[in-house]
Amino acid sequence: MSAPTLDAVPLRRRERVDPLLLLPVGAAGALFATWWSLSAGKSDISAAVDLAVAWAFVAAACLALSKVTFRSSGILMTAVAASWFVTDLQLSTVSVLWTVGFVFGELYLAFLVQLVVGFPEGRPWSPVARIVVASTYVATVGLSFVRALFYPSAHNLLLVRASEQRADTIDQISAVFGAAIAIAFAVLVLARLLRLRGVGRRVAMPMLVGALLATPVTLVRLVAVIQGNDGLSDRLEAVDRFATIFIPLGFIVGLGWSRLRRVHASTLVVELRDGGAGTMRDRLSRALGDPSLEIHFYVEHSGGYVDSAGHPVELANIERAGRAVTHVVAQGSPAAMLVHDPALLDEPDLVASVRETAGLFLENERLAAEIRAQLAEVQASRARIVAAADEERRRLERDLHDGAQQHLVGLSLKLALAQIGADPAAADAFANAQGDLERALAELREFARGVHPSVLREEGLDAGVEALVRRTPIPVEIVGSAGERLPDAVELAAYFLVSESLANIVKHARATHATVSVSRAYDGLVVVITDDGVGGANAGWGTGLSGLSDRLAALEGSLEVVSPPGSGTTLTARIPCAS
Amino acid sequence: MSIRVLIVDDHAGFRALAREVLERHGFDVVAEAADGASALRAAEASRPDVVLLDVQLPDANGFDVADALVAPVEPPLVVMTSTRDLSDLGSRLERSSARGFIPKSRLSGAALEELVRR
Repeated sequence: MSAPTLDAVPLRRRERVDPLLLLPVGAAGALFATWWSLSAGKSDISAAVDLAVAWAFVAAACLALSKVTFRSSGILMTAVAASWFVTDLQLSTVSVLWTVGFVFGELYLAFLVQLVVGFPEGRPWSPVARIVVASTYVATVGLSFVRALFYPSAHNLLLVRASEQRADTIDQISAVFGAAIAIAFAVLVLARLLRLRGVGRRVAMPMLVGALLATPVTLVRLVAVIQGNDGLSDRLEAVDRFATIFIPLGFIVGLGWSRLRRVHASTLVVELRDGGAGTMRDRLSRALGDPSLEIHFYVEHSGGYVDSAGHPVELANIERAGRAVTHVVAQGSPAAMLVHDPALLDEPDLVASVRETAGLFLENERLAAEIRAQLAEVQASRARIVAAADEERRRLERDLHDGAQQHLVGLSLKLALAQIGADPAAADAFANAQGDLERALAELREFARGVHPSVLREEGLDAGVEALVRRTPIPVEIVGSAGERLPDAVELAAYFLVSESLANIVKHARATHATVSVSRAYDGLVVVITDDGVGGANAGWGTGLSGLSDRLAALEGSLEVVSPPGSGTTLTARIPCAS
Repeated sequence: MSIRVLIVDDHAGFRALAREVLERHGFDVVAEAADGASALRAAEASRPDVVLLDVQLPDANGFDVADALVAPVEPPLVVMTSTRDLSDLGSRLERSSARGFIPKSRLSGAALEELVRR
């Protein structure tokens, strides 16, 4: 497998119209709309408020469109700015314009809600957010259209039956609906604010706070409409529209804040070399202002990447999590892979300089990760070797059972039959032979048990330990239980440990009593064997125990022997296993 | 009237020898079966008094077969047997519905009769 090349760095910029063109066009458009509405009779104060908000949206849209990650948001901001003055068309005496102004006058609210509850990705955050967006379109355009069917006005092209009362009722319904949406919107934004972390938080927080500030004004105005307090709702309208300015301003502040927090590309080398405490990851994370930053190191012999603990890293998982990847090179070859917040891609200069310089400082950590990866592989291969040997033992035991043992059993029965009706001398000889055969069979069974105990395979560790205890000539108490079946290798290791320990106790310890305790810990199995014998146990007790520690080590387990002279022996083994 | 026996073991050689050993002693071997499923069918058809049952069958654990065999109203008496010895079986024998255990190499009419009469 070859390493991903530098070309794999996401470069998502495409040729398109320069978003800066929007600035003069948008600013001039807003000025024209203001001039037109003033001449049609709009109040000075409303005109000033609307112009300020429209310019704020045009400026925010320009900034957003020039950043890859905020493109969809930029488009929605442009839509808000473009639909901002539509409501003023109701000042016109041209019926078509008036009707468009009546039906689409509040469309900007729907664009606004879609902008906020999908920020910054451009997709609604959750299914609930999607419902809120759709409801806003219904509450603004949909209900305005229905209201137009009844609203008495000489310019209303949609009028079916003039009824002021019905129009007012629909107005109140849409205000109730709108208030419910405003509450849901505020809850969504608040929940989002509490969940955001890192770069994403810095970018989005000011705008979301701005949206939260604007919501109560809207809510109070809608309550005034519901109560039929026309005076209050009319006075609040200008305030409500002005409060909207917090959203574009919040966006601009967030963008500036997130840039301020990042180091300049040229100072990065100094930051990385003298950047204070912690690992290189911590320094890079601080320098880039991304607490979620991860470093994965390139391993030459496998051609893949590992984390700092040496575990292999799946590229597909990173992509699925929506994280961005930047490859770091050192002396022309891959060194590491930075996994970071996609928002950083908006700083191509910074990312490029990280790519070129970080490699110089990462080599030591990369080598350490590579050694850990090799150790992990050796560990895995050791576990595989033990598993293969166990499988071979199991096969051997089965062959013994199905082959030699069956034949000897048959022979024993034939000798028993031969004794019937034979003369006494011959019967005696047959009986002797049967006795010898019985002893041979017993030895063969003992041997088969040492190769691979059938009781363990068929009944599990608890039954295996019980069988061992039954064959031990001193009293042994069993405490605890292994519970359900464990992986073969774990059961075998525990069984052989108990078997070897009990054999040693009988042979060397001069004990009168022993205890075997088997219990499950949160991360594996704990086996403790104690006796009241003479103590002083050491590796000289036989090759059995050192072979056992190898077996345990292959499972990443441990064995501890405490055996002070005269005070008995305690063996404690811990065998990790997933439960 | 002699005691009717069903022999269950997957080794045909052992079944033939066991039949001869038991018949010489006066038992009536009414059927043989090579696995758990056919053992249950044979027990249903020939209604033996005693089932001599191998612990390790190709399709099932002998103890599970023993539990199934004693389910009917007038169940046969089940005696387990194995090439292995008692200590290899853990506590499974005590927990099962079998009457007792005879190692294969020590199978005899007398041994079986002793368990049956007990």
